[in-house]
Amino acid sequence: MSDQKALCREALSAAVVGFRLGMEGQASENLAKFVDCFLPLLQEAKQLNVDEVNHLFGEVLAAQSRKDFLRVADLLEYEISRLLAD
Amino acid sequence: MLLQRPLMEKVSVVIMNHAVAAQSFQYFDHADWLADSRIELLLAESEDEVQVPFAAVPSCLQLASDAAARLRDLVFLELATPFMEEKQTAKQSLLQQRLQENMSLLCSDGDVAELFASRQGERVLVAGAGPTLSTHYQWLAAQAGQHLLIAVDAALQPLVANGVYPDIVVSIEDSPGALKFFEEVELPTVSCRLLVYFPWVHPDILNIWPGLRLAAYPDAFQCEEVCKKHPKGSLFSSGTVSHPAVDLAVKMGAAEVVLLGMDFSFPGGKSHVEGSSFISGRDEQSNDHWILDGHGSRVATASNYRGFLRDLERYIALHPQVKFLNGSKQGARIEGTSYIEGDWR
Repeated sequence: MSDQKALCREALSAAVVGFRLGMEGQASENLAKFVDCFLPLLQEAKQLNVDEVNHLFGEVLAAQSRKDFLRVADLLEYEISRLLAD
Repeated sequence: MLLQRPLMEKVSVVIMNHAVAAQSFQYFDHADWLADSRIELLLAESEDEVQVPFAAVPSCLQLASDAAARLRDLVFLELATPFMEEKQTAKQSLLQQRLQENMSLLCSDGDVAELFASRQGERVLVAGAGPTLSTHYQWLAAQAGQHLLIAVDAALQPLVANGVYPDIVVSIEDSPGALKFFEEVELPTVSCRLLVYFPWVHPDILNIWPGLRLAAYPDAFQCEEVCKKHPKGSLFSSGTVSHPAVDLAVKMGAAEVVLLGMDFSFPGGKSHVEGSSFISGRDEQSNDHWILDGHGSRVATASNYRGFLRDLERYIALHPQVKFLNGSKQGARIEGTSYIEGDWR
């Protein structure tokens, strides 16, 4: 589990950097990696509130589709990353 | 922040949208940095190229005006370059493996350089697979034989289906998906035509091609050993088959290169011309990515198309001796080209 979280954090961090620097390809690829890592955690971690997770990812996708990359980076760095807290 | 660096001699601030800048100057006090004598204000439309080093706030680039679209794209292209290079490096082993698979054909096939300088001063037509290609079928069929026609592989099937037989087909994709471009064509009908290819195209494409094959290397190809053993001419390539197709026309000596179906966008909400295997529908009104069409209106595009377009424009700028004509105003406005007007044909 901790390895999985480490992979998630790594992908998330790379996505945040990519979105902040306007490197859309790199950012999106790492965001996809993060989602792939995160899904198994979501199934196992019973303390996670699925409604909250859905809401946050909805916001991320909305910001991404309007190309508001700073908002995407903020959401990932300050909101989504909380979901990975021990 | 930049101005706080004592060694900073000059900072050029490029205004990407006049209206937004005017609003900002009206509502916010910018005196602290505007008063600095090292600041120079520039307008995006006056800048042809990105100057390095530069700093940009990518989110704010979404506010770029129509006039600043090209510079905006060049900034994004610059930002995407490390990622693209990383992807290319990661693909090297696959390309090497494919090259080995094709080695015997590479040895025995001809060299694209045989074609160079063979059409000095002529008009050469280059067909991409954009949606507007279909507007040229009738004329292309009628003019058969008058001008050399070079087509990208994705345009082969739609052209042949409409009675147009390109003289040369260019194929560079390593993806097996490119096989579709050839499988659906009645290949005997193109048996007297040439295939120009990069050495990592799928071997099945090379094997089913009924005519002569000529190999080429992309201009940035780094494989000295193979190139020395099997020297072939090189063609400009920066991600799309349209690039080597255009460069081939130029290297053949064309004085005039006519670009047909090179849309780099989704006019009519389509990604490719009807009949192409890759065609997919797109939201014409999508505001995700856009460029300007020949009428000066925004047309939806994709980030990679935008990059292909700007790289082609840079290529065109390096060849002032060649006149480039764009066949349609429905697709991307291509800097450095003029439009086919009136009775040009």
